[in-house]
Amino acid sequence: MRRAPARWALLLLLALVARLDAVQPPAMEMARDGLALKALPPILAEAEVRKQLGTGLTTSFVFEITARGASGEKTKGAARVDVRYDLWDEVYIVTRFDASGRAARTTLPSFERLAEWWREVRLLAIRPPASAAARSAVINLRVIPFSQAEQLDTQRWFSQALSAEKSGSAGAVSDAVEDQPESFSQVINLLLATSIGRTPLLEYQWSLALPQGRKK
Amino acid sequence: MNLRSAAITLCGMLLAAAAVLWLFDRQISGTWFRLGLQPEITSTLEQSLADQKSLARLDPERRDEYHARFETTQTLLNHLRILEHNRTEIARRWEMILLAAVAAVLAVAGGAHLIRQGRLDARIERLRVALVALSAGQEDLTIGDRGRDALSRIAGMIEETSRAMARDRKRLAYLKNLSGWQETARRHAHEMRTPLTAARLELARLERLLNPDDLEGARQAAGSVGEELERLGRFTQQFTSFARLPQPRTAVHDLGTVVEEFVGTFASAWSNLTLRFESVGRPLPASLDRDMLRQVLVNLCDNSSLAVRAQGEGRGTVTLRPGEAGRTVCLDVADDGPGVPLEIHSRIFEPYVTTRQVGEGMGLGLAISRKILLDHGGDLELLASSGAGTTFRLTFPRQAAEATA
Repeated sequence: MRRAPARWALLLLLALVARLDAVQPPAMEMARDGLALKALPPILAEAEVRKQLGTGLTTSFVFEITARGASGEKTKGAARVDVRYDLWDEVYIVTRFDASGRAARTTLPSFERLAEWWREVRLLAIRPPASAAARSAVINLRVIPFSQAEQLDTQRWFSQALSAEKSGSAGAVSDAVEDQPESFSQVINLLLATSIGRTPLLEYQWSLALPQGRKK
Repeated sequence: MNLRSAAITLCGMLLAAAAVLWLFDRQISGTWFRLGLQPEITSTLEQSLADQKSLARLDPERRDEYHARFETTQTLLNHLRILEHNRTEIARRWEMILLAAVAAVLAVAGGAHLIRQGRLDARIERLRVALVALSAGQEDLTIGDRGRDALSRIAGMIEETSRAMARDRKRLAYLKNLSGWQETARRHAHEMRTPLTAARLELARLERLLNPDDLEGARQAAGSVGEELERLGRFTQQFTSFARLPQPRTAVHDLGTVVEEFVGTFASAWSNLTLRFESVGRPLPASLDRDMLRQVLVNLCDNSSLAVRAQGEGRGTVTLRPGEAGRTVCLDVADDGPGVPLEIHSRIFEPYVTTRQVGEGMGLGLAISRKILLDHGGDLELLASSGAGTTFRLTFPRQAAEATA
């Protein structure tokens, strides 16, 4: 019983350290065009993300927002940023998708410019009128290391490699992922190929109270 | 079913399957997976990308070619990175596939084992029931297990044993009856022989005392009475023969040779019969008394001759065909006579059963013949009889060929 205060102090210290180590959440802005994200969290500097961005694969940053109104009603929204580093030209190709319905593509010459773009970008998450009633929001951010197209391409390649078929005749070979399996081995190949998934590299979640009465 | 042994077998199969699974996963598939994703390959491909870019700068004219190679290498590198990212999931999926395959094989094997065990149990139960029936004295059991394994052989042995028991019981009953008949015959013979002897003596004395005026007529009458008494004497001799049948003095003979000799010797013994011998073409060693076998064959041929004669003036044929039947040596004696009436088939070997007219025979021949065969350790059976003829089968115990006399 004498050690109880020390134990509490240790737990408090650990909680403080964890709080300091936590990634800063994005800011939410209630505007005329809806609920938007801005000042995105500085996760590009995270070692894993930085390394992933340099691979040449398309890294997707998927924001999912669940907003709650005063009476508890839920509204969902989403936005996504795809970043691919072109290893030949050594530029970052950034594509932004948000609730505005437009895909905006940008080419950035360096990581610093990318980080700058990341800080300044504004992503519309929920459009009016649903956004108007929102009082709080839960934001999920998933960092996915490659795109769906790259996933399918790898599944196809893996399936063909398992079938021991020549890559030179890729146009003629049966595609175990898309075609009907004709044999037991094809079923096995299909099962193995479909185990290639887009599991997130990192995941974050924040709960925020939304600012009220400041419509621009 | 023995649950303990089934559980032990199942555990053994599971352990073996787990060991094979572990070995395959760790030593075979795991090795190839590690080999394919080793970091040196990734770093080498990365270096290759840098080299292609450098080459493009140094040799701008072939820039497109280097760029194409760069794209190909980068695609491969991307694939490897994506595989590396999913390494755990792919390995887990592969293990699940292996596990499912092993589980399917085990399920099929287990199911097959259970079905087989169930059938085995049912067959063993049938054998148990048959053995209980056999021990209770039931004859001519049919289990119906016609496989080739040990259980089928056991079932066959039980069926054979039940048939042998049935045969032995019938023989025993027959011999008991026969023994009674023999005793009766002995008493008949004894009772008849004494007055017959006295009558003969008195007849002789009467001859001596006859009137000298009519001696010839008296002698004829006395001779006629004497002939009748002689016939009565031969008649009682049959009883004596039946009552005092000697035990056979057997030796190992080739049955074919013995029968062939009989046919040669007795070819013209019956004026209305033709004897025919059909050789099997190989030695048939059997333990038999040649004289007693000859007695049986003479008796059978006598019967055939009388049967043919009863039909009219025609001739008949008796075919003697030695052979093998199961574990015995046999001799089929077939005639083309009118056959034995169906109503006496079951009693034909009983003493005093005959189809002849009164005074033509006592009906002891077949009873004596069967007794002789039974004393040999064999049997005499009526194999078939119809309007086209009758076949008797004589069976003898088989002997080793080298012991043939």
